[in-house]
This record gives sequence, C-alpha cells and structure tokens, in this order.
Amino acid sequence: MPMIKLQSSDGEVFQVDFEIAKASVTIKTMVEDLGLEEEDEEIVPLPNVNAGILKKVIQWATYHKDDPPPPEDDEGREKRTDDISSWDADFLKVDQGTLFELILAANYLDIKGLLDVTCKTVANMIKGKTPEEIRKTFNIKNDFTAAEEDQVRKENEWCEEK
Amino acid sequence: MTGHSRDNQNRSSCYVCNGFYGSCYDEQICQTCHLFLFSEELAQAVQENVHNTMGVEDGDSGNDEPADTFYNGFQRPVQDIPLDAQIIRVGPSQDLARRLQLLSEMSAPQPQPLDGDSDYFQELPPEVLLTVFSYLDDFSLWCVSKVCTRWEQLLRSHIPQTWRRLVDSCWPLYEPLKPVDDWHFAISALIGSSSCILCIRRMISRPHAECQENSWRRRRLRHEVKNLKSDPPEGIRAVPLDNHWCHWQATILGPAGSPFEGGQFFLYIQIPYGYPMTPPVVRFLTKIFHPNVSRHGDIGLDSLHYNWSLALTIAKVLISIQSLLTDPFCDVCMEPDIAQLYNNDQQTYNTIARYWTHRFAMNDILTWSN
Repeated sequence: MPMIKLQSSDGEVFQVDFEIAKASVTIKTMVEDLGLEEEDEEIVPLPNVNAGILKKVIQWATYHKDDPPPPEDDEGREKRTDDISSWDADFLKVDQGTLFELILAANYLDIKGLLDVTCKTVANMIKGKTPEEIRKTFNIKNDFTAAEEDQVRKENEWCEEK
Repeated sequence: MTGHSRDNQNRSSCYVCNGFYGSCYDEQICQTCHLFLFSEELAQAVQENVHNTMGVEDGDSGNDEPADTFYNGFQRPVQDIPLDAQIIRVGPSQDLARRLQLLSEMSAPQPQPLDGDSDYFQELPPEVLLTVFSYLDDFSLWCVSKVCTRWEQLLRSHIPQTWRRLVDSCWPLYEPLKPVDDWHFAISALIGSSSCILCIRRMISRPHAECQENSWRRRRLRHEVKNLKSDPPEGIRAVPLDNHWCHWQATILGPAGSPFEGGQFFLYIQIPYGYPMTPPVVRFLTKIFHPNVSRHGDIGLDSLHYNWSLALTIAKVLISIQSLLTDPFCDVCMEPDIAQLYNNDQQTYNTIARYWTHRFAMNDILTWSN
C-alpha cells in the first residue's frame, strides 16, 4: 500500500497511507503535481500545521477514510447542525484553541468533511446565545461601544430638550 | 435621565434571582429564570383533558361548552390517560426536568470555560468565518452581527438580504413610513427596543407541542382572525405568526392624550392549545414605562389571569390593554416604583413615559439612514 510522509511545522514526520492522506485536497494536488511515486522518499512539508493538530487530523481522516464524498452544498436551504456523528462529537471535545486550530488545518489542507464538522461545532456554540454571551464565550472584545453610546447620548439630548 | 429609566435599562444581574443562576448578559432576566417563569409549554395536562373531549361538542352553541367539557374532561379520566401520558412524555416533562436541573445548579448555564484570553476567531480567515455563520439561523446571525465590528461588516456585506427577511418574518406589523435603506439598522432598532431578547428568540423559533388541536379553538380563532382583519378596533392590529396559530404579533397605538401617544407598541401573544378555556399569554415586546407592565413586558391585567372569561377575545384583551395605557391602575401593579412616581409626580412620569415612547416605540416614524 503506498505511503506518504507528511512533515508538520515543528519538524515531526508522519507516515500515512496515501488513501487516507487523499482526504486532503491540498495534499492530493501536491502529490499529483509533483508526480510522487511509491518508492520516493520525498517528504511533503505542511508548514501551517503543527504535530499535535496533524496527528488529530490524521486520526480523523483514518476514521473517515471509507466515507462517501461529502455532498455539494445546495444554497438557500438552512443547513443542519444537529447531524454531527457521536464519534465526531467525542473527537471534537477539545479546548477552544485546538478546535480553532483544527478548523484552520482543515481549511489549509482542504478537507471538506472535517471543515464542515468543526464549523458546525462552533456554530452550535454560538446558537442560542445573546451577543454579549457570545463575546464572553469566545473572549471577543466589544469594539462597538464608543459609536453606539454616542448615538444614545445624542438621542437623549434630543429628547431632553423637548 | 432619572434613576428609573437608568435602573430599568442597565442592570448587571437578573432581576429575579439577582445573579444566583449566572450572568444574564445585559438582559433583564437570566436564561434559567426565564425558562422557568415564562414557560414554553403550550399544552398542559389539564388542557389535554379538555381537548380530547372537545370534538364531541362540535355542533353545540358556544355558551354551553365550557361547563360540559370541563365536566366530561374530569369525569372520563381513564380514557384520556394514554394520550395524556404520551404527550407528557414527548414534551413538557423533559422540559420540566431540564428546568428543574437548571434550578438546582447554581450559576448554570455557564459559557464554555475560557482558555486564556485569546480570541481564536480573530485568526479565522473571512471565508471560514462565513462557513461557520452559514450554519446559523437568521436570528443567531443578527446576534453574531452585534458581537464586534468585524463580524458586523462581514455579515452586512455578504448576506444583506437576511435582515429584510428577518423583519418580514418577525415583525409583520412593522410598517415604516419611509422606505428603509438599511434593514440591518431597522432590525437592530426593533430588537433593541424590545424588553426581552429571549422572548424574541422564542417568538422566532415558534415552538409548538405535538398534540391535536381542538376544533373549538380553531373555529374560534378563525372567527377572530377574520374580525381582526375586516374590522379591527381602532389602533389595534393582530396577526398570527405560525400555522398553528400559537404565536401572534399585535400592535397597539398609544392612545391620544396619554404619554404613549404616537408610539406603536408591539406585543407578543401566545395562544395555548387550551384556548379559549385558558387565557392567552400577552406580553409587551416594545419597552414601555408603565406601572402595570413589568420590565420584562408582562402585563398585570386581571382578565389575562384569574379573571379570564370565555367572552373575552384577543381584540377585547388588546382594547383593555390600550385603555390601561391611559389609566394605569396603581393599587396593584407590576412596577411599584413607577406607580409611586405616577401617584406623586405625574409630570415626571409623563416625561419619562414620553421619552421611552420616543426612544422605543417610534421605529416606524424615525427611519434610519446611515
């Protein structure tokens, strides 16, 4: 079975079954463009993915290697977020940092299935929360206040004159 | 302005539990208290008894029904048990269990534990952010657009049609006098002038119980819808939002001569499956400064609670709310502070009430151009 070597940003090399690595469109294209052969000792560098994340990505791709290709998006329909498989849900029980790094890795490696499921997970964390709650959950800074408070103040002035 | 308006608008913790069940995130009331106090359940066990027997009375005149159905309902509990049991199993009891659990946990629900102080979203490129957002419903998208300026700009430029759709589906009675050029601003103004964002979410998600509707309710509501359309009382409108006619929106124009004059006040009405045996839940969506309306929008009107009568209709209830705006009832009320102000210093009361009307109830006149 053909194997391929992937090198993470921090220099660790992973040997992966090519059939599994093919889940990543980026790797697939790279290999095809380079015309790598089975016996080649060439290593594919992945400068945007560190070892910990690459390991998780490989774990995910290994589990999902027999999945049918994900369906094309049909626009206009509200997409479901409640169809995350229990294996994926367990797999994604990680801290926020890891989750977001997985999203970035899935985006960079162009693994649609993984990108979908991680984005869904984040969407589920957003759903049902008020703006302030979302900010608290993800540590996002509220950069609105100045402009909005100005507006409220103006409204007040206008009213108090009456 | 005065302590009253500030007090009501900027609270740091839930006014019911005072922060015991966690942060309320700039709302008046935290999610746990909201879930418990303002139930989502549209059907309750006793009402189920009523509708199971309802079909039998189909041909009767309206006046005889209540006594009969109550009588039948309580006399034949054995037949009703299987259906009741099923209904309770699929809906309310789970909800009740969830709510009880929330109540027994201090400071739940908590947001996910924060790791460090980093905002990981910052690192996501726009196309990935949009992929995440593509899984959200319209209301969540609005919440997201209010999180930070980057998200707002991204959503405004990529999905501009969402806001119009949200206004149309959730505020069908919103009729701006001037054409709106910025629907995001319009929806933000409408949501921003509402007293409870959690109620808006419920109004939008429109939950309904899976149970059979009685034909009496349907006939009665059909009649009311027709009358509200053909001959609505002055200054009053009401339309159902969903096919089950469980969730309605209504508007009341502030009566002339009152400090609410010129304002258009939105109300949310929930018609339970037991209607007209059980009264509708009527609540102000638009913030209003009034002794008989709580800061959450609940209305202290006896006919909506223990004095409900079968003779009352949605239109009649709305008319009594409208007249309550002119003549507050201060002996028993929802907001004693406001009642005290009304009794002692009516001029200040009028000023504040008028200010609130300008601020929150005139979204149809004060249109927005950026």
